[in-house]
Amino acid sequence: MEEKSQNRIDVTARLAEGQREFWDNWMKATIKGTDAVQSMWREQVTPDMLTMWSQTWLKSSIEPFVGKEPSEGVDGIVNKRLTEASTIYNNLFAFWTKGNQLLAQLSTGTAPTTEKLKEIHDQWIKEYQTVIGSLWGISPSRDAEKTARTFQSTTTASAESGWRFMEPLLKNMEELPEILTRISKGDTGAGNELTGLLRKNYEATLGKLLGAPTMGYFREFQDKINHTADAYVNYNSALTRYFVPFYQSGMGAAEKVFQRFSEFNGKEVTPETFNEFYQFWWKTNEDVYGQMLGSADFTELLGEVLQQGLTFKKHLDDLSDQFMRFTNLPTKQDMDEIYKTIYELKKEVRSQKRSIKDLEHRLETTVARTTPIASKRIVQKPS
Amino acid sequence: MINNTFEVMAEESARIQQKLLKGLENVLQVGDVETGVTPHETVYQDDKIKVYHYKPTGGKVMPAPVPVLVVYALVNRQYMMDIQQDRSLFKKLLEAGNDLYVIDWGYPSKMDKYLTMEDYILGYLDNIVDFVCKRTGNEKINIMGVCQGGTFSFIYSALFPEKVRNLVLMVTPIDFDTRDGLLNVWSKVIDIDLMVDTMGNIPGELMNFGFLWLKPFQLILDKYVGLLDNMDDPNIVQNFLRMEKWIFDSPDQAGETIRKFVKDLYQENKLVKGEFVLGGRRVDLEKITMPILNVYGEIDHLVPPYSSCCVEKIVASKDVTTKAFPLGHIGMYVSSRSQKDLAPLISQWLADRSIVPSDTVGEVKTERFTSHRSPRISKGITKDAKQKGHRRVVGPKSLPAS
Repeated sequence: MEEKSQNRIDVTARLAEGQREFWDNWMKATIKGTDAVQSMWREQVTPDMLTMWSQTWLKSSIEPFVGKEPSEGVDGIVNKRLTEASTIYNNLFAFWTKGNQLLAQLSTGTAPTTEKLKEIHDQWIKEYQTVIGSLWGISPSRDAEKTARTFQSTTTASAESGWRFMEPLLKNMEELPEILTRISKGDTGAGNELTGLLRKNYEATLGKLLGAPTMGYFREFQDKINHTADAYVNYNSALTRYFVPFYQSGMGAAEKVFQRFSEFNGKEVTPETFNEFYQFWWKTNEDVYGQMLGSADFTELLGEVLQQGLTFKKHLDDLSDQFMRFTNLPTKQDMDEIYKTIYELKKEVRSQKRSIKDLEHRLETTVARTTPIASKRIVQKPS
Repeated sequence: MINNTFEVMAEESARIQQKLLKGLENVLQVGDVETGVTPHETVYQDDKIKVYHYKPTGGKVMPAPVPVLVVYALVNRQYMMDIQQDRSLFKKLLEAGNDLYVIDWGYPSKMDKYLTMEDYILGYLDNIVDFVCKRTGNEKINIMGVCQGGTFSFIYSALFPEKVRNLVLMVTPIDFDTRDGLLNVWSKVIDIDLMVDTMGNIPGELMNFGFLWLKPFQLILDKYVGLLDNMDDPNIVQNFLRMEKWIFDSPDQAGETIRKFVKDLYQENKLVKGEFVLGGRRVDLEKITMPILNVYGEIDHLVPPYSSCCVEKIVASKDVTTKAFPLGHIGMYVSSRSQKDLAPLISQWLADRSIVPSDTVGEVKTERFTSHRSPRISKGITKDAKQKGHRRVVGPKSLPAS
């Protein structure tokens, strides 16, 4: 009985001791954590602050319980995973903050160069990879972790390819602010340059993609789609350039009209004067546009627009025919074959009719020629 | 002054509104406008092409009426020359005693995209000439070609001079190498092969669009502003609507025909260079020996004067009359000047050259053309032809329909 009582006293004492130790460690951890925060607060606030704070707090909180050296084996792995899991959110927050800082470098009042953009892009990819890499610590197995890390390396390659696609576009767009400024000042030649710039971008990026050879079962169909899209872009590009002389002529005519308008200043406004102004207005526009329409520059643009427009229509018709082939309806090609056949048949029939008429006439002529002779012979026959 | 201005503006606004209301009433009441008003009958048809015979009005009688075959352009409709009673060139020609046949080229459909210039000139036109010759009992007939129809007639006359007695050309483009007209300038940059390969027939709407842009402000804007001022007059509204109907009534152009027309004529100007070939035959302008009346407009923006006035220099004919009118392309058909001067000019010119002299009856007899025979196929004169002789017609005659 005394032994039993002694045992109960030992367990109770051990429980109390354990609670007292836990309370001591908890106090030590809290004091250490608070000291750590206060010491950080006195320094400059940085994006890493939260990460550092949480790691410091974690370390100082857990250390009193588990000791400075984490144990090996399952305990150590679980402990490691628990502590590292909480760092994911810190890493995401740090990534977000650093990303904003990188973007802040762009708004300096001038357009960034392609090199600067590449630098920002590379830094961002690096931060991104860091965040992704921090996720692998919680993989269920080593194989899963290995697979995830392999995937991570491919995303790096993808990012690089994406950059190569965007780089010529960004390089060409360095000219854009200057062109836009000139357009706003009324430089109509800048409009042409803008379309040329867009055209250059297209040819360096999407144009290459659309012009690349296709492969596979739907190769031909895909080719038709690509060529149609390419033709559409070319047509729009030509059309944009085509409208520039119209705008320029309009401005030129407006200037002349305005000068004349000023002569009306102070005069009484009557229907006659308004009619006079209207006549001058449309005749001036007619003259200016007439000169523009006959100019060599416009004629060249007209030829270009027609060329691109017809090429686009041709490709679109081919594509439409391709879709028609999926249905039970005759295609344009089928109908053209029929029309050609009908035309040739008609021509053949006409030719045959002409030949028949000619033969009929020759026959008539021959009969007419021979008939009098036959009659004579009959008359001259002896009775 | 400000008060006065407002008063004037208000009055003007009220006046315009009254006109518009009256004009709207006129437009709603006008119904379908009639064109091609002079009575005629269809005497020939081949595919979509028809030939109309305009009945003589019993006016001046010509001693030996050689019929006149009017060959209009493909790009528009022939009823422009008979647009309304008081503006009808056909009516004036009939009143002067001419026996008038007019070709209606019809509206080509997609099926006609393979029709060539050979088909039109060596096929349809030649058959029609043969028909008219046979119907009227003439070896040769007078041909009046208008605009592109004049070019066709000119080419036909070089290939078949034996069938053409007199040739009248109205606003006809012959020499296309000029920068005076926007059509001549623009045609140089058109890839007509791509256009025809893509579209087949060239749509009439596209042609219209191009024609409008030759004078954009006048044809798209001022024309309608002018109508506003006169909308309260129902006759003016009717006349305007007739013209409007004609302007936008453009047939599609058969692909192969327009391909050759633009390439060989507008772009390479082969006709005047003597390099134009049709159906394997070179069009030799030296073969054109019949009398020619060449009429053109001095302010024609579609067929510039330079394009038309070269005729007398390039043909072998000794009798070429060139006459310029201070008119535009459309004005040549519908203006009061054309009614007053042009129709009498043509009629008198034809009359002077259509009478067969009595001492040449023998010659004519030997040259009598018999039906069914094309000079391309056979040569020589048959006894039959000599025996039949030439009928000397006095006064108008009614011919049996063939």
